[in-house]
Amino acid sequence: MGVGNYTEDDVRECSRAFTGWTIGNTEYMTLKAARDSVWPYGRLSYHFEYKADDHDNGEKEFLGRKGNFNGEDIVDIICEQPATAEFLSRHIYSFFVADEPPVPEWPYKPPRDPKAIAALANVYFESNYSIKAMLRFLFKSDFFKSDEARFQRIKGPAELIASVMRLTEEFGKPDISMNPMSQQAQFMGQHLLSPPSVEGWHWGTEWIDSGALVERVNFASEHFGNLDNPGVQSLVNRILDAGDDIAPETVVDNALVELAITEISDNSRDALIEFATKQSEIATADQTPRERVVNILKLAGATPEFQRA
Amino acid sequence: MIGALLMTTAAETRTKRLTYNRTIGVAAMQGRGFYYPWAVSVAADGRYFVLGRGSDSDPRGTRYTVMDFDEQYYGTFGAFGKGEGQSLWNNCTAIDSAQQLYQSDESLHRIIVRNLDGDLLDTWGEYGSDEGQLNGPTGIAVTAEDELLVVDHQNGRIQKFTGNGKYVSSFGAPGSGDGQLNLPWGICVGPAGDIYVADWGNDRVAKFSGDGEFITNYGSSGSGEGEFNAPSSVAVDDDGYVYVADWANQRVQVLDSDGEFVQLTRGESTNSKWAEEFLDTNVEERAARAGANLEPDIEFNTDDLHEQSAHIEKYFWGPTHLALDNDGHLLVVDSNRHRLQVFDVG
Repeated sequence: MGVGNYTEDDVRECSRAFTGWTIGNTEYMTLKAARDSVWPYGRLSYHFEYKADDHDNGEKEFLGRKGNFNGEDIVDIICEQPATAEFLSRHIYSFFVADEPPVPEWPYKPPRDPKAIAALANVYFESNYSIKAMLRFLFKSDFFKSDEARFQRIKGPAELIASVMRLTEEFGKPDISMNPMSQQAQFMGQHLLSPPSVEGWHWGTEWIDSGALVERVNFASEHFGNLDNPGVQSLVNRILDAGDDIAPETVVDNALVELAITEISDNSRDALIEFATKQSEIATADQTPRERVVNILKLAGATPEFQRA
Repeated sequence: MIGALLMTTAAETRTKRLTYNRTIGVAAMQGRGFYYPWAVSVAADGRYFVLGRGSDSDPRGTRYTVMDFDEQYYGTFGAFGKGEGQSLWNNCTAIDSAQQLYQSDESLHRIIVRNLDGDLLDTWGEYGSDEGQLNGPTGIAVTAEDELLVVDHQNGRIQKFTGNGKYVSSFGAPGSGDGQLNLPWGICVGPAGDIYVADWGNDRVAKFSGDGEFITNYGSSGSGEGEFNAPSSVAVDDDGYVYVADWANQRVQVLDSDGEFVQLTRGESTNSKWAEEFLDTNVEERAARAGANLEPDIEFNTDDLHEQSAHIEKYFWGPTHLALDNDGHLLVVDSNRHRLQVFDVG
């Protein structure tokens, strides 16, 4: 629902409604968890158990409603709140369309596209709280497909890593060599499967700080810079399809196409062309045209446009 | 051998071929026990050589653990790595008549050969799709001629080698037609020399002659009796009964020599000797476990049998390999539960 849409009293009443809800085999599962025990035969998945004797059957007041609520009633009441609809809509919009402000600012900053959020919230209610219906609506909407939505999201660490690895074709099937990639995400601020709080990660511009940006740029540079990667070889082949002697400007434009950077600022493009031109002017005998293309790919990976999606 | 009779709810009379006997092993990242065991081979002296896969987060499980039916422990050998005698993704193990111990490494595309003391004798195999090359070797089995059958998983074929890695022949090709294989996993040689392949991606067991001529397929996709979902391993006893580790269905099925369904089991595990010893020294866990219901009645919101096996401890959870020992037992490698479930055959 988002901070500001409920009180501490609501939280307390809510917890009363969930009394009696627990995990089955509570003592054994708790002990195994405390000991991180895999003995004798590995993990046991948790299962739900309702203990009626432990439930508080008194009257509760939650979000302005009164009754002898149980957990399901609390879920229903939360689903019925307009704040829930807006909260979910902003999250979905932020994940698929364009970065919203960081979540803690939502009580004070309006949505980037209020009409889109209102439309999503409307679908939420009309579909009886169906996330599936919201996504279907979103993917068919004009605001999802509009030019204004392109490159308006900072790639999250996992997205950045995946986008690089797909281009370099280092990932084919599950392989043990992929394990370090999860650590790379951690270096960039996203410890996979371990968000910093129940609120999750703060997306958008909060992915970028001076340390994380260096990690992001270095990661892209390292992987685009390895000509042994099959995907990099394919990229270079296509970029130099017309021959090794094509103009620096053409090399840059070809590289941008290959990296799916379909829109780029003049600043970024000019910087790439300047680099490509100087590189060709000072080309040394031991640097091949293919290696010079790789250098351009490395620099293109550092552009704001590649860091966005 | 005549099996006992089992009355079913449909009032049919069937032959019960498998009877649960015991569970062997306990989870152990190192030393006595297993951590994601993947396959087992049985030596002439009756010892079990359990090959561990380990996990990416703790590769100490990438080892052999040697023990016997009575859980007498004989030690471990092998280690995770790319070096000599090391392996990354252990898949299967087999022993030839000279008591040479083979293991396949799915990641490094090679076969490691040792003696039963664990001493490295040979390493062979190279990555590729040409004749004699391997791409992700999985199941292995030894023929009566002491040649090694290797399931060339990613190449969708079976290759035969001499024990020292000289290419002999090949059969099968990727696909779903008769004689074709889709990411095959396990393999065994039947009493008449026929070759059985757990055709993982095609949800069936394929039967070939010893020369690699296609004979027939058993089963089809599904979760009913005689149907399979990604079978991982197959074993055939002296009477021709076919045992199939029905991996994604989290069960073992028995077929007769004509491929007709006989029996299935989801697993019946009890505490092994080593598990009891663990609980003897961890009395709090024993007490808490004694008060727990390990077969809870859960309303699952999915048909995925993986979920059931993750909750019900006695069930198989990811059965990866089957082997018959020298004394009429079927060993089921119950990988995610770090144990072997042992059944009497007959």
